[in-house]
Amino acid sequence: MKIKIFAQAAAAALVVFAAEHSYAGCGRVASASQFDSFYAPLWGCAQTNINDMWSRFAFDAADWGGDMGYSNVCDDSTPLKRTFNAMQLLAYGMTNAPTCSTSSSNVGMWAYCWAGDNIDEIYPTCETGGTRAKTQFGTFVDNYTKLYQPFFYDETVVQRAGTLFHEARHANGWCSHTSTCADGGDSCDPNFSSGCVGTGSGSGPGANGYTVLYMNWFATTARSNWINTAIRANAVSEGNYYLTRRFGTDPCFRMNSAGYTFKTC
Amino acid sequence: MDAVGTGSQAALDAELAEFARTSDAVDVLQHTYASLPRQAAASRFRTVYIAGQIATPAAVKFLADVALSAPDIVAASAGHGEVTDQGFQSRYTASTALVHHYVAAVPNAAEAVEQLLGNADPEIAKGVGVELFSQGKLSEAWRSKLKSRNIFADFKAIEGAELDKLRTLDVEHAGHQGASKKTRVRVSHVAVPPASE
Repeated sequence: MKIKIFAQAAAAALVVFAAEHSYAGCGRVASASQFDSFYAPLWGCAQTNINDMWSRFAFDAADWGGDMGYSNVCDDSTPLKRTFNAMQLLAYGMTNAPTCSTSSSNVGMWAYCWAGDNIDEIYPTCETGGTRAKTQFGTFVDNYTKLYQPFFYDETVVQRAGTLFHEARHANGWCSHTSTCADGGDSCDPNFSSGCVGTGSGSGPGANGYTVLYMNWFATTARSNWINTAIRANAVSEGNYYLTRRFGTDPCFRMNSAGYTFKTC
Repeated sequence: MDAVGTGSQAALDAELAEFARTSDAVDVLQHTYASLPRQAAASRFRTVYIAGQIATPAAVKFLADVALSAPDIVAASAGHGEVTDQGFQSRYTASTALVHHYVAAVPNAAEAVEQLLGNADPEIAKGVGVELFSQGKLSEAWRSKLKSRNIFADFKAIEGAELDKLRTLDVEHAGHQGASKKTRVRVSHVAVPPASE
């Protein structure tokens, strides 16, 4: 009987996360199932990395005080640390030497610097907002990227990294969304190769396309110690979710479980 | 213990193997999955992923139940970036795990895959087709099964120049902003408390 109870307890510990949860910002409990504990040791909450992120993304201490984590910056349950973990994945997930040159076709080489360059400033909110993040852009407006509660507590680290890259595309290309796709609600790109729409917008894939490409490159070229099979599965399913539900016209390709692409119409 | 979080792939494999040896592993996973709210998509994904590593008929049944479940659509009031099909990742992950079980000849997996091709929601069925095709296991009979549902089944790997075209972004000419356009002043050093973990 004792053995049975022990087995059940061990099993429960494997899949249930209560013991690993701690009170976090926005009144939410931080789940341990979002891979923060996988990535946190890989960059060690190093001060130099923090300084670089702080500068590159124009964080402001006033925005990240209290439960947001400024005074507890290495605690994986806070919004700030969960944002940092995603930024570090964006930087080092596919290379140990991220660059600002966008000459490589592999977005993982430059996604971090490019996102930092294009996101004007970044700040958090506890609002759910019906969204993960939003970016305001334009010539005569204050440009910013706002991260909502679901970004911190409903997304895995790799999803968060994809969201940052996605928002950077909004900031960079002034790419808006439409409401014509399975998900609707101002979350759609018209198609994969030309998805950047709106007044003064750029050309090429829109923000959803950037999410897909980030997941694809990550799933197929991530550094071996920055991914495991569960995280790859998470990245592929995220990419396929976007391919399935976020384009007005079906992009006609999907990824298999290894991240490789196949024509599907 | 964060089963699919902490440590290397080897650590993950060891934890999963240990867990899979427990006699009631699938029961625990089923119970956990059922108890998780739809919003806990990451936890539900993780639960299904773990079940996918257990090569038993009980795991096959659980995975098939998940993969065959109907899309879990939240009302379309969802805004920019909100996930409306909360169950997609779980269904997709369960379905690809079943294909892997089929390839590994796990009992009942072949029947489960066939059921998915015939009855899963079309996007999941298509994903199963892609996974089977990529493993060289999409038979003509199963291809026909997809086609009978008007689901595309003439899959083809995207490779070479075609893949390059798909994956290459011309970011230099595709946007507006850059480092020089940043309006908030950057700071070179921030007095953030040092690492304390």
